[in-house]
Amino acid sequence: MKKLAVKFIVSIIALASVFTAIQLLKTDHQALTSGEIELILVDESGTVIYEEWITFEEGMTFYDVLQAHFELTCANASYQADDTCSYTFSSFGSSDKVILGIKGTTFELVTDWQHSYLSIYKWDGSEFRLTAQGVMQLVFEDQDRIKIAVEEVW
Amino acid sequence: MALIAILSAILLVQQIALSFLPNVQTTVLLIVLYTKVLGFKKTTLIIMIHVILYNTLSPFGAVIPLHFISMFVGYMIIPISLQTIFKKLKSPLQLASAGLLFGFLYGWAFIPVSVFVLGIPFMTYFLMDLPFEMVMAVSNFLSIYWLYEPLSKLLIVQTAHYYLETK
Repeated sequence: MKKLAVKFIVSIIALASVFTAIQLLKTDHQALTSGEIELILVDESGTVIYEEWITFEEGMTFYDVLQAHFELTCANASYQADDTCSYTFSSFGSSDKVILGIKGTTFELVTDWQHSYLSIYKWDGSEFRLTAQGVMQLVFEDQDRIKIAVEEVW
Repeated sequence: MALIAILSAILLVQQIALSFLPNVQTTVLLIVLYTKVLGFKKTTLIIMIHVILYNTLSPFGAVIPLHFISMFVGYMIIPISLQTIFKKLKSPLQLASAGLLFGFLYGWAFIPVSVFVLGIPFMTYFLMDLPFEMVMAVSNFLSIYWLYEPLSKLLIVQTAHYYLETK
C-alpha cells in the first residue's frame, strides 16, 4: 500500500513539474509598446508586391497587426481556406493560426498549404532569417522588419 | 521471426493509436522492455521494422525521408544506452528516470536534419520543441514507472512459452 502511495506521489510530482516547466516556457508575444514595422510581402515568383511601414498598438500580436491592415484567409482544422479565421491551432503551451492568404487593396497572396505556404522571415540586422514561429507567436517590436514570402512545398 | 513480427506489430499499433496525442506514447516503454527481455539485436531489428512501417503507413509519419534516420537514431539511443552506460539500471524508478532522459534525446535526434536540411534556426527549433520533449519525457517516465514491472513479467513468461512451443 505504501509503495503504491509513493508511486502516486512521484507521478503527480513528475506531471506537475512538466506542467510548470511548459507554463514557464510560454513567452509574451504581444507588443510591449506601440510602434511600426516594415512589412515586405513576396509572391511565388520572388517579386516584392508590398513594402510598407505599418503601425501597431501595444498588446497586439503579429496576427492582430496583419488583421488590422489586410483581409486574411486562414486554415481551418482540416487546412481548408477559411475567410473568418475562426479556427486556432492549439498544442502544448501555445496556440496559433495558420495564414493561407493576405489581401490588400492592390495585391493578393494566395497559398493552399498542399502546394504552397507562407514563410515568415525577420531581419536580424544583416539578413532575413526564417522565424519558424507562427503569426501569434512571433515576437516583434518597433522598427522590426518582417518579410512574408510564398514558398513552394517541394 | 514470428516473435519479432508480433512485437513489431504491437509497437506500431500503439504508436498509431496514440498519434492524436502528440508525443504521448508507450513506444519507449516497449523498447526498454524489449531491450531488457530480448536483448540488443532483436530490439534493433524491431526498431528498424517499426521506423520503416510507421513512416510509410502512418499519416503522422516523417515529413521528409531523412527523418527516417532521425527517428531510427532517436530510438536506437535506448537499446545502446541500456546495454552500455545504463546497463546496471534495473528498478522501474531507475528505468523511468532514464526514460525521462530518452524523451529529450529522442527530440534532439531530429535537430541535425531540421537545422541543416530544412534550414530551421537552431535556437528557435530547440525552444519550440522543448514542450513536446517534456511531454514525451513525462509520458515515458509514467509509462515505464507503472507498466514496466507487470509487462516485463508477462513478456518473460510469454517468450519462454514461445521458445518451448517452437523447439
